[in-house]
Amino acid sequence: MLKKLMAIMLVFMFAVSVPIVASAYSDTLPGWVTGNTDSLIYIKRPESHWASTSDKTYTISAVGAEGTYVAVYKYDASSDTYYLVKGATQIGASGLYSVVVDLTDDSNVFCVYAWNDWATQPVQISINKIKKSTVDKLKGITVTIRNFF
Amino acid sequence: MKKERIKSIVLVLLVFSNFALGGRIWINEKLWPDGYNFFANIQNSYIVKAVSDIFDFNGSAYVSKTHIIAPDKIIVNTGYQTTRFALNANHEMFKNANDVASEILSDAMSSTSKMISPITEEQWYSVLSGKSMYLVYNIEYDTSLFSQFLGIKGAEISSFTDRISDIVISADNAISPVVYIRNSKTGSYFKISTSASKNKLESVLDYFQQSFDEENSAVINYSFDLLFDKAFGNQKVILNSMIPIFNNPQKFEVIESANPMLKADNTFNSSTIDKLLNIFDINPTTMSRYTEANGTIVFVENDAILKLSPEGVLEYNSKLTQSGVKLANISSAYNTICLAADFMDEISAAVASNKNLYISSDLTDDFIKNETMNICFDYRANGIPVSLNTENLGHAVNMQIENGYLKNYVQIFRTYSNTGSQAETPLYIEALDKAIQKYSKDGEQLVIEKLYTAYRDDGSIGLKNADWEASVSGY
Repeated sequence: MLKKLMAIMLVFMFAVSVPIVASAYSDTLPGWVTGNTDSLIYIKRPESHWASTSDKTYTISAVGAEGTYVAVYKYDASSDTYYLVKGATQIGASGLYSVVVDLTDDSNVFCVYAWNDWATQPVQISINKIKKSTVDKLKGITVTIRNFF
Repeated sequence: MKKERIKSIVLVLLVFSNFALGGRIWINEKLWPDGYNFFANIQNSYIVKAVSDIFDFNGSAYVSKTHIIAPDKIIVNTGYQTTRFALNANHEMFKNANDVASEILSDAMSSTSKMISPITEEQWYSVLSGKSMYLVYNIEYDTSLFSQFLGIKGAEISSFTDRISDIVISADNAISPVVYIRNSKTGSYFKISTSASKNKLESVLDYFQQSFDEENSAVINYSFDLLFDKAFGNQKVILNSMIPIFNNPQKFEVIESANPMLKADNTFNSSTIDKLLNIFDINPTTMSRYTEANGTIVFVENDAILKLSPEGVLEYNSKLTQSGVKLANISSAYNTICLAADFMDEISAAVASNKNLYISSDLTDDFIKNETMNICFDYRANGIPVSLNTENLGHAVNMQIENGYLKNYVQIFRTYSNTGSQAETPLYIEALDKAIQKYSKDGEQLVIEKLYTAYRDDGSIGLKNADWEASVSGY
C-alpha cells in the first residue's frame, strides 16, 4: 500500500515538475513563479537582492553549478507577468555568471531564473534607479556636512 | 716653466675629479639614514629636476617612461558607479592622462612621512567608486625603484611599503589629489597626500564625464564590485579584486605579424647582420661562422655564441664569468634596467622590429637582490599586449644580466600591422571557463591574478586576433 502511494506521488511530482522545467525558457513567466530548489544559483550582486543606482544599467552577478541555464526577466506590474530581457546562458566550468540589465526610470524588478534538467529556481531582484542630479545633491550634502563638522 | 704648467693642469684635473667622484658617492650610496639624504633632497628639488630635464643627465627619460613605469591601462572612474572608461596605450587621451598621473606621482613620491598614512581595504574600494584614475600595471615594483624612475631618490613611502602593485589617484579631496597605493603581497594600503594641483586631473576626469555616451559605452565593473573576489560554496574561480570586468565583448583590429629578419626573398639581410655583430661586440674578422641544417647562422667568438634563425629568433650566450656584452658600469638595479631597455631598443631598431615593447617581469625586491637579473619584455600592438607563446619562448625578449654583463639574450623579431578588419573577443567568462579546464586538477579552486585582452601570437606568421588572457596564481 505504501509502495503504491509512493509511486503515485512520484508520478504526480514528475507530471508537475516536467512542464515547469520544460517551459523554463519561455518569453514570459507568471508573476507568481515558483521553483523547486534554492541551490542552483547564488546571487552575489546585489547581495541583498536590492540596490540603488544612478546608472542606466546594472550588472547582476551570480555563481552557480556548471551546466545550469540562466535567463533574466523583467516584471510588468500591469499584467503581473515577467518578460524575458536576457536570453538563456549556460554557466560554464568557472561557475560564474554576470549580466547587464537596462534600467528604466520606473519600476525595475527582475527575476533571475535558473534551471537544469530536474530543478528550477527563480530569484527576484529589485533595482531602484535614482537620478544623477539626486546623487550629485547627496554628494554635495555629504561634503557640506563634513565641512560643517 | 712648461713642466710647472703641466703639473698645475694635472692638479686642477685631479681636484675636479675628486669633487665629481666624491659627489657621486655621497649622492648615490646609502650613507644616509632614510629621510636624511641631504643630496637626494636637493636632487628632488624642482629647480634641479627642471635643469636635469633640460639637459637629460640620465639619458634614459624616454626609456623609463615608455618601457618601465607606464601603466598598461588607465581606468577613469567618473564617480558614477559603472560609468568608467578604460584607456589602452593607443587611446588618444592616454598620453595626456599618463602625463598628469606621472606629475602627481612625482609629487607623492617626494612627500614626507607626515603625509603618508595606512588605510583600510574598504577605503581603497571607496576611492575606486569616486572620481579617480586607476593605473593598471603589468608588473609589480619595488617602491624605491619605482620612485627612482620618476626621478625621486630616497622616497619616504618606501619605509611604509616595499612594493607597489596598484595605484589610484583620487580627485575627491577638496584641495589636492591624493595617491593611494596597494601592496598585494602584504594586503596593505596607503594614502599619500600631495601638494600638486588638482586642475589637470579634474580636466581629464571631466573630459570623460562630459563625453560619456550611455548608449555605446562599455560597462566596466571591478571584480570586487561583483563579489567575484569572495569565495562562495563550490565556486571554482576566485578573481583578484582589482580585475576590471568588461561585461560585453570588446572589438579590436585584426593584426598581421611579419618576420623583419628576412628579406622578401627569404634570405638574411647582410647589413642587419653587420649591425647585430657590432652591437654584440663580435668582431667580423676574428669570429668563426657556420650555418646549421635549419638555416640558422651561428657566429662564435671566444666564449660567446650568437645565433640568428630564419624564424626571426636571435639568441646570444656568453659562458664565462665577467664576460659578455658590458651593459653597466655601476651595477645598480636602476642603471641595469635602463641600459637593458636601451640595449633592446638598439637591437630592435637594427632589425626594424616592432619597437613598442613593455617590461613584463616583476621589478620587486626579489629581482633586485638576485645576483642574476632576469628581465623580460613583450610586444604591444594597438595599445594592448601581444601574448607570445611559442614552443620555446614565453616572452618576446628574455635577458639575463650578471654584474653588469649581458650573459644571455633571446628575442623573437616581429612587426605587427593592421589589416583594416575588426573582430570581437569572446566574453570574459569564456576565458575563465577555459582556464578552469586547462589548469584545475580534481576541481581545485583557481585564483586568477590577471585577466586582460591581448593578441595571441604562437610565433607563426599571419593574422592574429585579440582574446582574453588569464594569468593563474601558481602557474
